[in-house]
Amino acid sequence: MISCPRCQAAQDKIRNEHQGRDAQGDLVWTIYHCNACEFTWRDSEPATSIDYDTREAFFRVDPEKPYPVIMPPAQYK
Amino acid sequence: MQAPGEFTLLSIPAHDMGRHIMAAEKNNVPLKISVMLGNHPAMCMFAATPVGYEESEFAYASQMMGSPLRLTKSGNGMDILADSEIVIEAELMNGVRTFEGPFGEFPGSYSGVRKIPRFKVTAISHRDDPIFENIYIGRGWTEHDTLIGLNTSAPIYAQLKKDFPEVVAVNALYQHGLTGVISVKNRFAGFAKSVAMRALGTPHGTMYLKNLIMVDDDVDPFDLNEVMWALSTRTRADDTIVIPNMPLIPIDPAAEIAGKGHRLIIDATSFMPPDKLGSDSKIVTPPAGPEIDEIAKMIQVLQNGENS
Repeated sequence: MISCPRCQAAQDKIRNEHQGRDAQGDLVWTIYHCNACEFTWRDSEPATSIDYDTREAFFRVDPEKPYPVIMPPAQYK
Repeated sequence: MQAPGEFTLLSIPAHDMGRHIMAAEKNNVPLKISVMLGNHPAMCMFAATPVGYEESEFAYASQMMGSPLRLTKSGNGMDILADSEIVIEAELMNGVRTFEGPFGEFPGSYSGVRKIPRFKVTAISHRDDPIFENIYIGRGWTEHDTLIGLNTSAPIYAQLKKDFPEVVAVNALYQHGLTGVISVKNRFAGFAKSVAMRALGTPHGTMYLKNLIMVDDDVDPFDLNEVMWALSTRTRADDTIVIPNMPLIPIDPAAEIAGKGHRLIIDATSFMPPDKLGSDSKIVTPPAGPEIDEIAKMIQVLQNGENS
């Protein structure tokens, strides 16, 4: 069960982005992307980066939180 | 990268690019860009120099190198360097903002999470075996401080010098100018403060010059021993200025609200009438002249043991 390491979004928000294979065609790593917070990660990165519980709180994101918007556009999408 | 073919790129209203983004979104017209990665060091230097909005970074880089730059047209019609390692052509996704950060930044801290402008890639071109150029950044002193220090100081100096020829030197080496030291010959009492206010209105000063130390023309602002001497001997605590709630880069770790902050001006120049001067002292001027040279020679002879 994969969830987003940055915002803890559930699996239905996660996109399988790319798979890296060795010369024999065996799967070495997978890159995922979170549609909720736009985080991208590779599953071979250290747990401090890709495990929500191990990840430092400062580096987590709550998509519901009103983060600063740089140059708020008139018609914000 | 935010998705295949999409990326975010941070710009703030103080940047030229920020102005372009705001104008494009206000008028709902496309904004095309070309991101050039891996360029001649002169180009990198002037891309990071706070020159005026109407001035050309290409022209500055060309002048410094003493030869014309080789430019060409990107696929989306921009003037680009012909010798960039990698060129990413893209278009602003009007009105879209996406999560980015935290990122390591030059004050030696991480930025917060921001929602920032997003772009759609329209083409990528590169040289064979392209070199991806990057920079080591963090708590100073890093190569970032070395590479950006002088080209931060020089434009502030040039912009001040136009209005105030009494300005001698500008040191904005520290954290991209979050602290600056300016030496100036006081024309009249309080003059250095007027120069400091003008510095806060320069393109770079508007967002970066958080702490300003003003020193006399006999103090080298690049010699911190001299600056500390000036601070120790020529400041009065009630002769400093704090200007609250000014614009400030959004990554100042000390900011209460990202994007705003207080400015500090310390006038460490000597007092002149009508200010009251120090009542019971006189600053020493190092002695010089033929007599001193003679004494120096005698001391040297004594030191060398040639007095027998």
